[in-house]
Amino acid sequence: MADPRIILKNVLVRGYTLGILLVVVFTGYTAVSYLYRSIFKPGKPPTEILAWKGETAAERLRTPGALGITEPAGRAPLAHYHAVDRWYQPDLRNGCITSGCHDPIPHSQSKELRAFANLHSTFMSCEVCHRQASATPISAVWVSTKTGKPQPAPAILQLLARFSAATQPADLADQSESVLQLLRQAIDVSGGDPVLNFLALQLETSQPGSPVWRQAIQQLAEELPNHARGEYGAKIAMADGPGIRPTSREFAKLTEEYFSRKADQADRTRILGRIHEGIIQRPQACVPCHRTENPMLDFKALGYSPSRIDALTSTPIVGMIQQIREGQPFNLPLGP
Amino acid sequence: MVLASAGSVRAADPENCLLCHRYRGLARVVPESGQIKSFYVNPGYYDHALGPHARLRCTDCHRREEVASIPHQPVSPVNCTQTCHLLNSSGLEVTFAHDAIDLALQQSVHNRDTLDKANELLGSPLAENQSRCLLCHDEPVFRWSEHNWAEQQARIDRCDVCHTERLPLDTRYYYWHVHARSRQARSSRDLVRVCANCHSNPAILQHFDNPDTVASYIASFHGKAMLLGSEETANCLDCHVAELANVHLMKPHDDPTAPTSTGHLPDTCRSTECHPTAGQAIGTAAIHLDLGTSRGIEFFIGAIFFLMILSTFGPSLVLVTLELLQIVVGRHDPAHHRHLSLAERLMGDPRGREKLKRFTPHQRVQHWILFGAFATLVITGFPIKFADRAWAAWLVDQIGSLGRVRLLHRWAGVVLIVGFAYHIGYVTLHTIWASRRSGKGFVRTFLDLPMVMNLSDLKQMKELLLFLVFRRKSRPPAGRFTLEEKFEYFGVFWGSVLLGVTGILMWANAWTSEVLTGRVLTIANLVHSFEAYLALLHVGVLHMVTVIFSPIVFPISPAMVTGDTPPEKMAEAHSGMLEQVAGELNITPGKEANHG
Repeated sequence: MADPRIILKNVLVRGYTLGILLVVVFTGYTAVSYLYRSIFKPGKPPTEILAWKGETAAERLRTPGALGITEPAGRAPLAHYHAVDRWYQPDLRNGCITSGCHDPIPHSQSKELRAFANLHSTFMSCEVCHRQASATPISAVWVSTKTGKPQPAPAILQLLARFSAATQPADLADQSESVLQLLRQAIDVSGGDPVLNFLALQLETSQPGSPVWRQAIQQLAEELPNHARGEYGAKIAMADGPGIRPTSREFAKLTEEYFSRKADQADRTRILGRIHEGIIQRPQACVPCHRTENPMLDFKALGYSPSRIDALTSTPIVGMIQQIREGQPFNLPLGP
Repeated sequence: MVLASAGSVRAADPENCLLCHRYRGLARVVPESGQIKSFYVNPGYYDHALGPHARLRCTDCHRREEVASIPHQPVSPVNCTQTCHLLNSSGLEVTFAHDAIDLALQQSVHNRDTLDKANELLGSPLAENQSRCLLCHDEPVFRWSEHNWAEQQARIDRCDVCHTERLPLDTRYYYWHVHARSRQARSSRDLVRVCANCHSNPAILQHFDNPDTVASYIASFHGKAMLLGSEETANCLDCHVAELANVHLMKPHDDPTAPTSTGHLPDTCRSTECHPTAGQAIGTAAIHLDLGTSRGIEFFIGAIFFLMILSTFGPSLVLVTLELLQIVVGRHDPAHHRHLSLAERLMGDPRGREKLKRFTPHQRVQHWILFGAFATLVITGFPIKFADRAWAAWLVDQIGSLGRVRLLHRWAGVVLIVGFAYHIGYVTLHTIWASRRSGKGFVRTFLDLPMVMNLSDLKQMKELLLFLVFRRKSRPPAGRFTLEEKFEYFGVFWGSVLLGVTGILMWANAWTSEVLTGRVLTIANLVHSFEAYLALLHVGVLHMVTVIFSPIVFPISPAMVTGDTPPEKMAEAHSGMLEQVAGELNITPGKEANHG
């Protein structure tokens, strides 16, 4: 009877040699085929030279990893003039979109309002406007577009609220660490904005309250409002109310059933009814949110700063919306 | 409150368009095409004056009557040649227009008809009356202004040391403008990418009967250097635009005024920034060489090397594979156990061990110098050959820069050449010494050297192959060096000469183009590249398996360290030497060898 250790050693040595043999054959084949292609086949530029522009196909917003959508692109899509480093933050948790039923930028019918309505789609869940609310203000929370779970107010809004409460940079000296932490979160969500990155670095490497630190805080105060533009990695969603949440598993299961081959017409009608329970097709959503008195959304509870709340519910905005709804043009509200 | 209100000042946007257009979501999907039409404008571009258009108001380009009211009227496409009214640094209004560029384009190879056709062949991304500028341009951004914002911002902040208040936006803008415009507006990589939009598009190439010039550029040294981040190397504009001429005035190479025309090409190559010391003949070097479509001498050199690699690497690969197969199936020469026992006995005897050392310390030192030079040449040379691979850029980054990589490569080449010359001297002296001792002639003595291949090796090769393919029971006995080792040794001679000569020709490109022709440089580049590839395959795959990865020697054969070849390897590959040494010392294998 052979020694089991010798047998084991033999098996290991032969297995290892077989592995080396396969690697050698594979490497040899790959090397020769590369050489053949490089001599006998016409050359082709590498992907980084050919595919570096963002894409404009709306369909790509449903898939992860699209260049220019989830990953920064080298330049704007061909024929698009204004510089964009990144297109949209995809909302891959939103069943209304991922199911394929609605476009990722969903509003297209009303020529006057579609772009304005879509403007809100990067930070508001469809249901906030399209679901029947039981009370005003509605019970709303921020929901992460990555996890689909409730989260605190986006870091950029929290920062703005803190800066709004401060009268001078020194007021924030004792909050330096938490400001920096929020700033880092905001940078992660914005895709690594270089300006915010630079200011974060300055805050990180300076003593709170020092001249360098104060200057960085002042610059941050000027910079932050430009980054509060609806790209927070989170959306406002209803905390309760009728029907099912588009981020829930039940929603995903229903849409899957709807598209399955087994489902007949009766099933589909039933599922559609269930999915759209409490849904309003044409909501009166603009003024109820943007009015000063008793707005639909409790902006303060959602983490907005007082100045931002003032801007969102100011008379010019509400007036503009009202006039547009009535079919009248509205002149540009001039800046200061 | 004071802090929060500071950000609302936006001098560059007096019409407050960014109130809405700063939202990326301001967009719609065009139902017919499924494409997103985005109305987003990056507010950072204007707030930080990131480009030359940052001082323009929206209504400088878009018609006020169409955009002054909300919702906007149908907006006409922007005419890039319209006159703009700008404030200069003194606050005085000046006018500016791009109409001169339009004129230059009309006189160039990229005239309106060509661009229209290109747009059509690209699938008409531009609408009928949209500016054709957008085929190449998007919103101009000061180069590096955004990505190197931190570094550049810090530089401008130095001004605050003297100016007690922060500089006004315009001063910042003028700093940016001059700083950015004093160099090329785009990186070489981005320039090539722009050209590739059309010049690598199959439909356009077919329509205009053009070769893929971007692919052939990238196959050249210039293209590879560009991929590895070099900004000094030539890009499309460096050659195709006459010095100090408008980049939009690009002429075809058959136009006698074009910098790429036969008459002007040498001067273009020999510009002060590129190859000022080169000879007139440098213009004959092939920059746009695509072997796959060329049928010139370069293609035949490539084809010859392909056959050569097949006929040298191929058989060696088969031999190594078959050797490994013997281990997998557990097959040995019938006398293996006897040879193994003999090897162990000889290694146990100080005299035997000494006689079994196949390499002298002097030879081992030469090997390690060769190893050092070869490894450096591989590490610094192959990132250039495979510049389009991510690992190549990473490796160059680790080393520091392409310039440093090239410098290391050249000096490693010098070490290889000097080492090779030393070895030639060493072999010559050794042969003269052996010739005098044996009384044979120099040539006869040289041919009898153990590392030199001879006719008997052919017979041995045949017998070895028959053994490896199970057609012969016993393995032919090999002496001090196996057939594979002799072949590798020959390869070092051949490779060092070819790589050395072609490397020197390229290094001394000014001399080469002065005395020979530019085409010699192209051929030298090809031969250097192919020969290096062949050497890497032999050493990196086959030699590594034989001396490191084979289970007989794993983790490494100490033959080049201590001089001792492992008994298993001696028994397997050098049984002839074992028998010879055993005979000289009158040592026989142990009894256990007969029970194997």
